[in-house]
Amino acid sequence: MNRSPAQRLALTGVFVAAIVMVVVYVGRDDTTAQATAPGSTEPQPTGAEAPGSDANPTPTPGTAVAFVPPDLGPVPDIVDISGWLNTDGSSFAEVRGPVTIVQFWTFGCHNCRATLPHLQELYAARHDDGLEIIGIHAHEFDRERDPNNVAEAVVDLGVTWPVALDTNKTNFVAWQGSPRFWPRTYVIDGDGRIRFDHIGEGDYDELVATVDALLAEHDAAVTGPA
Amino acid sequence: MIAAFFEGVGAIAQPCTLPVLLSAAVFALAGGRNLGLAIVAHTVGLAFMAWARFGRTISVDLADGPAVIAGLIVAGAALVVAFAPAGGYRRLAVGGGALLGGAIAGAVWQPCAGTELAAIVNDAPANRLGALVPLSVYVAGTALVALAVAMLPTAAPAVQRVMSGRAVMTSGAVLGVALGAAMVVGVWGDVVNELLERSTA
Repeated sequence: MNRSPAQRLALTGVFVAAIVMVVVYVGRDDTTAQATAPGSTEPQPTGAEAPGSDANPTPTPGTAVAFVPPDLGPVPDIVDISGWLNTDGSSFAEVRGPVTIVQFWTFGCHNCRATLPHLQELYAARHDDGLEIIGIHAHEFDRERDPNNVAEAVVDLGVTWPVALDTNKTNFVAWQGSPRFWPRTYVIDGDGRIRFDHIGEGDYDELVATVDALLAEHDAAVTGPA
Repeated sequence: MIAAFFEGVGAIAQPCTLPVLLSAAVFALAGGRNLGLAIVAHTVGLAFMAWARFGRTISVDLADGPAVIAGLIVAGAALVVAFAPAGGYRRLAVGGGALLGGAIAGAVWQPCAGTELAAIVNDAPANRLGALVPLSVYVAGTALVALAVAMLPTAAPAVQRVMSGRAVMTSGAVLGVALGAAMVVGVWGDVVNELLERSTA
């Protein structure tokens, strides 16, 4: 097919523009994601509704509705772990807390790393209140399978919570079934029920709200009725 | 929607997308002068398989372990795409083969989900139809560079002559058969690992 020089130039320009867009997008500074300040997004006592949840009824005007995270089923155990980092514990039961965030991640995953500032801030603010985080490291590529590489990455990335090495990806498969993603974040309550399940980045407001609601549930259960 | 597209574009640079890009490259090479058709068909196959999986319409995951049937399909599709005789049915063969290849790529894809893809896949099980368009837009973003490369033959006749050459199409077929064999034997992950190690060394 014969094309005029102008047409060829236009097509070449589109090609170059596409490459430039890729380079600009990939090279953008995306490390300035503002972590949600825990507590700043606490659900309001009046007219609150659980984001993405069907647990709360439509509030009647003038009544207060507390945010109740949905019950998504029992939590599987964490098994076949080849090692633990940042903890003396060696099982899920030993390491978990009254409220536990469990996140499947791998250090080579850019999107996983993007969630860490949010988790770090939440962990710093709520750990003393009973929040624990367990990072289940499930590799995608061989270099992420080496425990030494994982340990080095954990230090470099500032991960201070317990990390379970899911070298055989037993838990990665058992928890997620099909399809499977990185990262994937669950929140577990004190009764071993999954109360939050999110694929990928984002929804940090709902994560914080869920943790706060479950910590309040735990406190109420501990202190008993007034 | 625009954000989903550009997030798909950015996903090209992440290792998670390497298996998909590898499959696209195989069928692009095998497609020869029908390079653009092959890439578009591959993208469509990928998008629909991903949509079906993420929406929990079907349960298939070929990322781990041997995948005999999938490997045979990939190898066969690559051979069909590369060696379909010129004529009225070549475009059909290229489109159909690449579509199948894209669908298999969608079955092995384990994405790293950014904000936009996360919004799509979290909503997909409850809103399957609503997830189709944004997911397709995201997948189209991952194919942007490949589509841009596909335009090279029309911009430069010399490139078109090269792409139409038997050597290029045969190389695509060889890579496709190798890829299929790796899936059959269950070393597909090792192949991707090796490519990643070499590309980042």
